[in-house]
Amino acid sequence: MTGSKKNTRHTASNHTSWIQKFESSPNGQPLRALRQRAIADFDRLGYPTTADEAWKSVNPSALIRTNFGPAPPASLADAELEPFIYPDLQTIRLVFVNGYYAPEHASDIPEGITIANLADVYDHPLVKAHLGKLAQTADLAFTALNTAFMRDGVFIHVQRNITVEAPVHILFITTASETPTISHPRNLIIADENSQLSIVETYAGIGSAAYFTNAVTEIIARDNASVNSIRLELQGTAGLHVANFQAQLGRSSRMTFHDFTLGGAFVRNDVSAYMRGEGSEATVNGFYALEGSQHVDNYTLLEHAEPHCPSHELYKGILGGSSRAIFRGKIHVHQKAQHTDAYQQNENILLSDNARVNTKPQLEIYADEVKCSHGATIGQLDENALFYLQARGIPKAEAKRILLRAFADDIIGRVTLAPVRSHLSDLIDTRLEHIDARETA
Amino acid sequence: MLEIRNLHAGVEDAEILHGINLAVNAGEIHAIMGPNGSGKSTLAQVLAGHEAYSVTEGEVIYEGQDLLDMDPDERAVHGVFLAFQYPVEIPGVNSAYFLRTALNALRTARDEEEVDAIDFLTLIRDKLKLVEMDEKFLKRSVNEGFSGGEKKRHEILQMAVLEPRLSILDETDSGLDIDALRVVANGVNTLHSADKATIVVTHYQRLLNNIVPDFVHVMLDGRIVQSGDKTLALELEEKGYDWIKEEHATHSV
Repeated sequence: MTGSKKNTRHTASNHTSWIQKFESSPNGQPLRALRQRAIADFDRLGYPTTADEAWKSVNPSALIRTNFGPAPPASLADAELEPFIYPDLQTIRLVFVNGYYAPEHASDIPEGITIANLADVYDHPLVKAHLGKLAQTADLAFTALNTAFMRDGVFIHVQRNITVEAPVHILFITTASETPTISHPRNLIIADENSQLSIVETYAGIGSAAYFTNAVTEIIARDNASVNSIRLELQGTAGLHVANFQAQLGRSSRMTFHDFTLGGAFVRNDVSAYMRGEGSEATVNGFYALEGSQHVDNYTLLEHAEPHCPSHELYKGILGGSSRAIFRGKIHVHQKAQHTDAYQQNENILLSDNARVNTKPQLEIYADEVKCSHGATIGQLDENALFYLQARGIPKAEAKRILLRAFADDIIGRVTLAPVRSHLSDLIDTRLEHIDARETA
Repeated sequence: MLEIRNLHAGVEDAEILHGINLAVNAGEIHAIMGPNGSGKSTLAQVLAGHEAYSVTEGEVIYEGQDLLDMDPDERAVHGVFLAFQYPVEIPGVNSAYFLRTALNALRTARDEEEVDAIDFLTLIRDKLKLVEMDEKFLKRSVNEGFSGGEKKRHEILQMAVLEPRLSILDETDSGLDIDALRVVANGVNTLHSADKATIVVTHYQRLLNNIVPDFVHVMLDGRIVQSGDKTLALELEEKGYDWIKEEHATHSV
């Protein structure tokens, strides 16, 4: 029976091509054991199909049918980078173009922090000890693929008691290419005891060609560390984006994560926060604004393994055209995790009759003393609020903009880095105007 | 200023207003009274341009122009203001931003210069006194978490900022305690002048002790069935609406 199941899953010809590609790669490649386990997992899992619970409402055929090859190395002019950086913000910057580290765009690195291209530090004891530990490959085909083929990405280690003042800005830019390309960015971030770090991850595409970014980020926040992470997904109109973000929180540590999905044809985000230390606190928020036939999938897992951990989760979306969003938020409270306080909310505004949202909260609670709440809304723009604004002299288009902006501001306003917040604010304004223009056209 | 002629309006296939006739001149205060379901609020909403209601017959001329032909925001630009019976909550939009955006929308449409944040603050402080509201309200989301009285005072604050020529107050007195009623009435009286007109839609005579109308109209089943001066309101207070209903029924037969 296993054989027949395997056959239906492996019909995609490029599945086998991945295996062949792996086998023809040099045997002396570092992290060989980890990669071999990953490719074996991928071989067993195959590409996800709608039969997989986690991909149930998705048709990943675009991911499967296209034969993505490795991207050629490319250079990026400063001017091409400019739209994605913050002139008013001093950052520690690392740039990757088509998956390759571009040291010419990197900035200086201050003391107390180790930052390197991952491919250069495979032998680092922390990399050896932690890479692939959080982002397990046993169940996730794309994470397995990333692990088998990963090369460049960011390794960050912040030593204890160090507060890194400047945020680390990591940019993964894909340039247009005639043949569909794939990159597997891989990041490992370790914040030691009492340290503090902010990260901004920008994933962007230049041009309208098809490409696939398959990213994995692992974050370890040790006791009392504080990690503030923002992710901007600004992929091109034909860009496919799968990202797995896994964080582990030590005792009394804090991790905030804000995701903004504004681009890409297909985006799948897996985000998980594993509260392994007592009193740790996770905040996971997201915003998506979609149009055309864009498809965005947010799967989140907040795992409460220890007592006294609060978690806060708010995802909001605005959908136009025939776009589609899926939100599944799982809160898992272990038996030991007494006094858990978990809050989850997903809110959506549909601007078109053809846009669709599926939202599914999932609560698994094994402890007795738990405060857990969740809610979801899917609706249209409030007609009464529109009329109220119009009755005060505000033209309809402006009234709409005000209401949509207020809805988005709920998330934008939580971003603490002011220059990033104002950049996002502009991006989202432009985007909302664009979506609305397409609806009213 | 305003002339309503044979106005028929309703929702989808149900007609609610069956031929309203009403003329309002500058300097006048008109009260429209009537039991629940008589169409008072529908009339107010139709005058403000709510999309849920469609006009099937008749016309409304406002300062020589076809009011029904204007979008709700154009009506506001031309000086029409509706104080809502149920002010709408707008999460995430603070009152100061809302008021300034509305004022500047009107000014822009009238080819006047926009008011900057500093001038606006001076202006709004003055208006806040009129409705006895604290400046901290400006930072709160529009109507969100406001008490009934705060919502109604906030409506009058908007009226004070936007300075309409024709104000329609839709049951602004409903749900108010006596102090809030006094504040609201005082605001309306202060803002009223010889070149402005006010229509007060109310269920209770109580408000009319504070805002003294020049004319009182009684609405019943989508028609104005009786008009008079302020003594009509007192008569209604004393006898209720039943006698008018009976009288009207007799007339109809």
